Amino acid sequence: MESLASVRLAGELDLSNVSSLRAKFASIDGPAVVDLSDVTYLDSTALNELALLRRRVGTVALVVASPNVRRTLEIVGFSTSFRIVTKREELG
Amino acid sequence: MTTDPTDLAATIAEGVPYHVWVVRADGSIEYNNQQFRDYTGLSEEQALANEHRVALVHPDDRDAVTARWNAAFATKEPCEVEFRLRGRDDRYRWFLGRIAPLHDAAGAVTRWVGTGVDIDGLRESAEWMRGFVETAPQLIWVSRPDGLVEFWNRRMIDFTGVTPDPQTGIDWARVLHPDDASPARDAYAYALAHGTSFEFQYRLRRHDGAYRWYLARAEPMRDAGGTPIRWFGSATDIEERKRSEDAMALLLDATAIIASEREIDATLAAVSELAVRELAETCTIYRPGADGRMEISVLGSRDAERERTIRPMLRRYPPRATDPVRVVMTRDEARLIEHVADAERAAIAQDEGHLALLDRLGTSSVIIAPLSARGQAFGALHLARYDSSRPFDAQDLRTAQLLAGRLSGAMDGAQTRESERRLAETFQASALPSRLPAPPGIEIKAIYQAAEVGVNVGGDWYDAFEISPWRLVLSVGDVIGKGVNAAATMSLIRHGIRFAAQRGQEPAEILKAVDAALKAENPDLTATAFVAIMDIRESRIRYASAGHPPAALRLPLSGRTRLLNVEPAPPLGTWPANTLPRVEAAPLAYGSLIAMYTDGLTEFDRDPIEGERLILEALRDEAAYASTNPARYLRDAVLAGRRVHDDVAVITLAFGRREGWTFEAPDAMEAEPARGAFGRWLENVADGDVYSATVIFGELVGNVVRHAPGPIEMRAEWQGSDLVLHVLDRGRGFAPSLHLPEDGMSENGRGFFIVDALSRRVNVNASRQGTHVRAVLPVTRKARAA
Repeated sequence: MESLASVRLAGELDLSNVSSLRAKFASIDGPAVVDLSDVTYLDSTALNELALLRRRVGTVALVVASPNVRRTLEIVGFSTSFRIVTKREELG
Repeated sequence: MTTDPTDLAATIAEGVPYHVWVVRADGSIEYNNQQFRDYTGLSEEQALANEHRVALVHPDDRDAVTARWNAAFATKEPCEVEFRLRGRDDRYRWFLGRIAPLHDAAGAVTRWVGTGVDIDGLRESAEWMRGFVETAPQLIWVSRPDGLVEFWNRRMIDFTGVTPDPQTGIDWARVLHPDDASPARDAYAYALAHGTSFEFQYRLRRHDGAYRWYLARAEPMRDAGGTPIRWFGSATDIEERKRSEDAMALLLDATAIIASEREIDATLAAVSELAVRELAETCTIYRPGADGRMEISVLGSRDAERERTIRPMLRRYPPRATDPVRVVMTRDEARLIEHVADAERAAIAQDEGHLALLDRLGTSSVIIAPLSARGQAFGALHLARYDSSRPFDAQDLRTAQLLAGRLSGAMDGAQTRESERRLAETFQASALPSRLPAPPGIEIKAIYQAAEVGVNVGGDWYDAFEISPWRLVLSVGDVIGKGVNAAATMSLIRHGIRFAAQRGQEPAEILKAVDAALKAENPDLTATAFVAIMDIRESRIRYASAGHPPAALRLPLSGRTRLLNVEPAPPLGTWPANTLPRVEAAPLAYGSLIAMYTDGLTEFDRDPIEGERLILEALRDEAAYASTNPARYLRDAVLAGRRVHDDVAVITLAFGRREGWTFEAPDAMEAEPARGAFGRWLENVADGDVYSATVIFGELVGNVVRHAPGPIEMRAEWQGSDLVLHVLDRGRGFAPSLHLPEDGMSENGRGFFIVDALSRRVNVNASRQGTHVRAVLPVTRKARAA
């Protein structure tokens, strides 16, 4: 899926940096891959932005390395709306 | 009829000084007297001919006379009529003619007897009178006893532009102000019915539609029997006098408002309301804001629609330096704009949108007066009218200036009081302990709030100090008195308590020592006090009171509350010799919370029972114990933002507090970065899902930021084997949504679901002063801290 837009995020995603997150997502205008491999913390702030992105562009795949982050995504049912992989290569 | 001089009737008819004639039943003339013939110059023969007589009646009166005579003959009733009769000198004079029928025994009319009285002189003086009445500078009217207005003088007609109708008189509703018409008519009707004088102040409508105040008076003219037959009234213009009285009343009302309101914002609002009732249609008070821009402090308007236009307009287009409001302020000179011209509006307009709004508003008359005192500018008072038929005038400007002067005085006073209050608060605060002890497991918090200066200056205190590693003394009190002396005495008492306690004395002896010291040092002042000594090893507290309200206690877990009652000794400084105050004791369980306070907290409504009830109610809430500052929490819960006239001091002690983590900030956003510190602390003391605990932390902070922006308090504390995270905010509560949003890709609504999913248990409790969320974190206590 070489034609997908790609965004790489890192560190903690919370209220204090949500505006830069929004800016990054705003530049995406089609199906995308959001790489969360280096994200150490994620809560509903980022979940809301992911939901908005997904609604806008239709298809979003997430690369998730941390089991903690994965668990959060699963609790809110994102595993059904997003394709979640542990490694980028899995997307082909 | 004969002319026999011996005939009595003939003598009378010839002797009386008026015309007499007799007419037969068929209408022919039987007799005239000499007076008639002398006046008219007719011969006896001529006088007996009807056509001669008629020819002598003034042409303009002939029809009326003939009609009346004919009507009389037809109805066989007497009648009278006024007419002009030509004399021998060819001059016409006014006569009052009367004719009455004579009946025979059978009742048939046999003759008519007529008389004519010269009333010309009377009418002339009547004319003269009329001329006087017409031109007199009063408004004059005459009405019949049934109220019908017969006559209005020229001035009345010219002023009102209305003429009385001969049949219907005057419709008072047309010429009086709508608010005055009914009461005036009722008063007049009363006077007519009871035959009394009439006096009333009303607004009379001028021909151009403007109203002016008049004082109307009417008196009855009575006949010989005392019955009123006509009412003569006059009205004087009292517009100027009334305006002065109204202006005076307005200023008196404003002065009363200023004297009774303590809070300057409430004063400005009330005076503005007054101005809008009496003087203007809108009143705007401008004050410079923090950044130098002019802000609306108060806006009052008779028309809500207008207010909705003006407020956002002024927010978007605040007055510039060249606009009249600012110019008035800088020059410290009031300005009257009687008629706002298009050019003026254009000069103020900052863009087309602004101009359109100004045109739509259609302000027609403006007064701006500066608010300033002692060389300092506070702002400006702006009054506006929108009815172009009622512009402001010079008298209104004077009134506005006087009003602005009163307001300026109030604002100056408020500012002075505020800086004095802050000074007193600083002084008090510096006289209070700078540090509160924090032995292990014990958390002491306190707040002090100064009242406005002038009511009860200074004098309240709180204190807490250790006299050994396991003994702690707490005290609160209130010096009764005013002035700097009170503050100094407060210090004396506080240190007296410390001194006595450090010498090992118990609460009763401590109070006794202070009573003695007070009598010796400041005999004219007295004070109340509550002293408690806490023994940490024994988990007990012993306490005594000198005229002071009891402390309150919150029990752990159940949250039940009670007062630490003890029979109080009299206030310090008044004890009779040999007074020994009672001392009570209470056990203190781990997790208890004690609150001591001064009566400023409970007596703000002069109902100490209600005040105590409010304290206990607030204490019962777990939020009081979880709060990072229970003293502040209690103050806020009980006073609920009220400004009080007395100082308030509150000190709380939480006993047996477990090791925990706290954080507080005036802005919840500041708690977000604290998550890192929380996580690190957690890792040191707990095992388990630390990551999820930090997510719970983050979600709860986010919740406050989104729904109740403002202060936040956070406390993580062990309760048994549970680690509970408490989050307190000042919001109005929210309904926690424990389900995911129906729309899976909704942009919010997940936060609380996550908290619920990750916590062992979560509760939300909303109260009047905020929301308390407690989440049991998914962690367990480490065996020993790392």
